[in-house]
Amino acid sequence: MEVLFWVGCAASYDKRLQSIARAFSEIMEKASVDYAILGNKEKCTGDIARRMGDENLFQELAQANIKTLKEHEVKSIVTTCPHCFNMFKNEYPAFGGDFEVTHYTTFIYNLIREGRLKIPEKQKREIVTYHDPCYLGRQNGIFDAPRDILEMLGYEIVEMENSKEKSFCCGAGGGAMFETKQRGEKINTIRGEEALNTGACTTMTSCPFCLLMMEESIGSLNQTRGTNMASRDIAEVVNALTVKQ
Amino acid sequence: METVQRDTFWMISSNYKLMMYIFAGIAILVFLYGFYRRFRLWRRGVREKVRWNDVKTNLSYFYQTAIAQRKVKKDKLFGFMHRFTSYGFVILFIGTVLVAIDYDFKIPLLRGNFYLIYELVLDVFGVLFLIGLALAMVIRARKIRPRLRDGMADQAFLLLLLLIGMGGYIIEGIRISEMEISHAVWSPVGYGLSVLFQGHAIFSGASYPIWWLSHAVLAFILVAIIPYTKLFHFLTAPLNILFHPVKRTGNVEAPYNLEEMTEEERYDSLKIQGVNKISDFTNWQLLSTDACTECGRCDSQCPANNSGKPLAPRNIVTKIRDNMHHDEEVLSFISAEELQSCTTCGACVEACPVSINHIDLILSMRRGLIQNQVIEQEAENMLVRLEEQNNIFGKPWSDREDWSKGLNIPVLSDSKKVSDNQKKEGA
Repeated sequence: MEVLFWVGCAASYDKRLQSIARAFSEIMEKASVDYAILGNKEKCTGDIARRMGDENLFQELAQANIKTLKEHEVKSIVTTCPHCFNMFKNEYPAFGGDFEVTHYTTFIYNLIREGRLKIPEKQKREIVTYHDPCYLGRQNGIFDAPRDILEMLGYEIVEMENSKEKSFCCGAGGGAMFETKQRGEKINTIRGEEALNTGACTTMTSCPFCLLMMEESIGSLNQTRGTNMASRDIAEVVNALTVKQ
Repeated sequence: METVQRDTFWMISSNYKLMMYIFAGIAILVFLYGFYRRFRLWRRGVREKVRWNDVKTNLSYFYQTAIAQRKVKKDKLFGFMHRFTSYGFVILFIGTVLVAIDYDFKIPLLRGNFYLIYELVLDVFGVLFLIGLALAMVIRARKIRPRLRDGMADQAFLLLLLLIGMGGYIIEGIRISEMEISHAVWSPVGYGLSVLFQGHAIFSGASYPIWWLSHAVLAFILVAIIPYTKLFHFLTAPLNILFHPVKRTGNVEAPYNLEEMTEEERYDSLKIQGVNKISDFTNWQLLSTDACTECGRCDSQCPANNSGKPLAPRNIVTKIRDNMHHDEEVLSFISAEELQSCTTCGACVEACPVSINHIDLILSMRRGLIQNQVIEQEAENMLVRLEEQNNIFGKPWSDREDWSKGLNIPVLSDSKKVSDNQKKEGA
């Protein structure tokens, strides 16, 4: 096995987000990557527990996952979720979990560069905007891989008012997605407005939580503003444009 | 031929000289007490040792953040303002230290060519210092940056610094005009003023000692108030940046490791590892709050703050700082709602020019909330279901791989089987 695909809770369970998991596994299939998933043995990485303050639950989940991964002699991991990515990259090593981890945007970028994943000849496509997930961009410095993939496919990117290091949160992180009490305005509405203000056709992103938040806010803004912006994950876009060699 | 050297205490009577030394002594004592007062409070925190090995690698970060001021520079206008004032301040401070070495410690430094260059450098940086201060005062007076709070005190600090800078030039100008020094052009500003001062009684040799003493007194007032005001960041910001930089916001430091603990310790860890009161923070966390200048960059970037939620990262920092002296329950001055509103996006930490880790502070206190079972019902249910079903949605753990059914996706249910199958296929 070349790499373990860590699916994460969001893309495993959420009906809408499962399309990210399907798209990415199809991409790996097309590029003949020898991969596997942990299936039901995979547990939440504990990101949300740790950030909500439940350190013990986080550590129990982390230890269980590290044990499972070691039992299966996993060396290399690819994730579709930037939160899972961040945990493996930055927080699991303190608990003995040293794995080589890649986010799927970097992974796809490498597959294309190595010629393993064949993309169609570059042609002019629509104008899009890219929303940097906090845990991929600002917190782990990955700004270029997702943008490069889109550009290699021929998309033109217009940046939002806040992007890269200054990217504005979608509102889902740190357990905020599960706080039901509504205080103030919704954060994703602000970001949705920024996205619509670019005039682009689509908001691209590379985090399941961001996709959910952006789709929700842009969906309702489309209603009030009469616009027609779509939200898509980069894995979905790449999968739609590639075929098996 | 006239020797080129600094004539310290020109025209100053022994009474004035004595007064200066007395003021200096008082100012230094007040400063030291003020420093000790905060130092003692930091020490109440959980002790976190200085990791000297890290300090070496922190040096480049220190250069970027404290010297090149990369983060301050992101706001261009402020970048100029702050670099002018800070570089000016540091150079003028070094200049003053050199005078003390030259005169008080009788080590002749300010002589000959070195003295001429010294005069020129100080004159130039003094101008930058004053321009920076004027810029800062205009920015505040005209409310050009809404993130700044209206503070009379802030304007007063700037005015104090401005008066000290201008006073220095006035006494230099009078000295040059009275002494007719041949090398005066090396102090271009002082020289220019000396020409203007000719024939004005208020800028004559007779009034010189008054100017001189007022300059000294203002400078000593500045020294004395540093550890009691936000000017303390002159010291605490570089300290925090060097010893506790935030290089990556995505990493939460492990407060403890359950695996390395006995059952008893696990029970104790619950008591000490979340922050419930001030002394539960680490000493470096407490020091970091003293580096805050209330610039508001964090608030201006915070998604919770921008969407009208009860969280303002600056308030979190200043409330910890201002309540440090009485070791009370954190919840008596920071509400659970504030802490629960954070998305941990890291925009505040990224924006902070003095390397405060707001997320780290907030998460420490969130751990405290969980210990005290201060949590909203929905969030608690979510954590309980997460523990039972190992996923954030609380759906059955055995449904996790259902999405992959029928898609021919290899599942590592037993590693040996998978790798064996692959070997067979390969063969």
